[in-house]
Amino acid sequence: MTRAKLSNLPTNADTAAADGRGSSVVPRLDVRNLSKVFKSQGKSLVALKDIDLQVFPREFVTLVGPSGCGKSTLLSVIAGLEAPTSGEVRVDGEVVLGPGRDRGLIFQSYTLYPWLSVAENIAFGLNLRDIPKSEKKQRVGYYLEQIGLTKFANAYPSQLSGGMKQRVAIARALVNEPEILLMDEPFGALDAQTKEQMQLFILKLWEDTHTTILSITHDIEEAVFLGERTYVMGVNPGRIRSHLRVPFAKDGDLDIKLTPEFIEVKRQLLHELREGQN
Amino acid sequence: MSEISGSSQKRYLKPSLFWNIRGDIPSWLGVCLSVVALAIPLAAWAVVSYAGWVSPMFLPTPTAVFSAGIGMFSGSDPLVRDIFASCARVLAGFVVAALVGVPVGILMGTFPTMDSLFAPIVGTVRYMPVMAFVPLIVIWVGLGEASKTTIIFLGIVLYNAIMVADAVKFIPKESIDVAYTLGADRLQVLRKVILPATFPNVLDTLRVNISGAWNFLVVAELVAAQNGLGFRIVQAQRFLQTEKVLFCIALIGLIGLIIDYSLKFISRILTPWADRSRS
Repeated sequence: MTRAKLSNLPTNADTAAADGRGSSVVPRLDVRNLSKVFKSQGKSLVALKDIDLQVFPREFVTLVGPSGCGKSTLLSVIAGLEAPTSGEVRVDGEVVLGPGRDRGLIFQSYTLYPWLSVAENIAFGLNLRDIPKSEKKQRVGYYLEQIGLTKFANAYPSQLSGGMKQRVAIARALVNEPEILLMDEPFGALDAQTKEQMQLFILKLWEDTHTTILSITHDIEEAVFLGERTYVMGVNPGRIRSHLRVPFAKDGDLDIKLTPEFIEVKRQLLHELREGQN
Repeated sequence: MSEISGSSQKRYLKPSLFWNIRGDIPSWLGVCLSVVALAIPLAAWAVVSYAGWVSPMFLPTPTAVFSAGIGMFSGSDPLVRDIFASCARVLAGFVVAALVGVPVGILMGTFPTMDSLFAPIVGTVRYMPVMAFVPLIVIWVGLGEASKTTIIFLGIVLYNAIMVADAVKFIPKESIDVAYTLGADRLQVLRKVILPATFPNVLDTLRVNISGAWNFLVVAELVAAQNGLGFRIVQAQRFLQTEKVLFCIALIGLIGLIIDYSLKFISRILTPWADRSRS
């Protein structure tokens, strides 16, 4: 495992080469030297310290960290919902100054709007803009198909299961064609079986839609199974401890989780996480 | 030592139909209890009044109340006119209070700045009794319909604002954040998230507060009214016609019940997706 602080240049080159755009490729998401300090009643708490993190076009990157390491804070800073204390977040080279539809965000809790049907929820972002009705319909239809809920287009969120709700939330973000999809423990509230189904679903969706994804989780197995690369965070203060290229094909084979190689990677990450907690 | 093992006997919660906390009860039990709740006071009233234990002026018999009511509907000055007059006043005060209170509540719940701006007024005026304002209202807006509307309006507008503001504050932050990441600006968040999310609570708030409007109606009709149910009550009281007082009070209750059920029905149709908690 490589201790990394921007030391993932070979990785960058790999990704760039695979993308066919040469080694000068601009990261889709570039977090540089980012710190976040919370101040309350005269005391200041360093939530994030010197975070450096890159996600390249079409990459699936995961980030694991113990609870309280500030990973959710990091994601909301990346989403632009909170401002960093220092450092910056860039998307395609441009500094992020606030939330926008170039960075879709999926929360752990279900955030569908209960007064809108499934199709209307998916169309929410499109309805904020001037998009021809026929195009809207076609785009919503495509994503309903992708998430396998065409039959539920007119159902209300209260009629859906947890996994279905999360799939709709993902479709709602993707229909906007964001540069990057940010996911905050997206499957954390789901049972084990549904969670595995959702992992396969998101891998297939990633394949089919060429989306770039950054997903944070406390579940090491999920991080290794989904991510092409994984960042590991530590606590006090929240920081990136290391970074690892996951050497498995992302072909959606659940049995890979049972192979000695997979378990070995898990073991390494687990040790890394435990050290980070001290 | 055997005593200890004896005392560790398992204790289970015994099932109870009647004292079932927040569970379902069979519908027959619910209907029975509702009927009993109405029947016992009615029966007590009937027994006490028919037996002549108290003077009819103090408590008239149910038949006397009923026939007094029938009498009020006929004659030169039929009660229907008063019902219309009162309903119109309640409606006017209620509509103005909704038009002012609901937007203020939404602003207070949405923007901390607006909360700071309105909170001192809403917080203090709420404790001032509307009754005490009546002389001032008469001086300021006169004796006409406007003063009656103003009294009802003042009685409920602040409750509208406070309850709606609370409803807005209960919208999960994630629902708003996710709209930003879908490309919404603040106005769109207000229009497309906050307004629809609070809509069921707004309907609920209005339904609860229309009962307040009926409460202030009687106060309003003390002020130089020539008709209305509150006016009729005050008139009947002057001539010690207890049966007419009781009939008008019961009538207001009945109208309230009808309004309550209609508003519940309307909100069920308008917001089929919402869960309902307040009753």
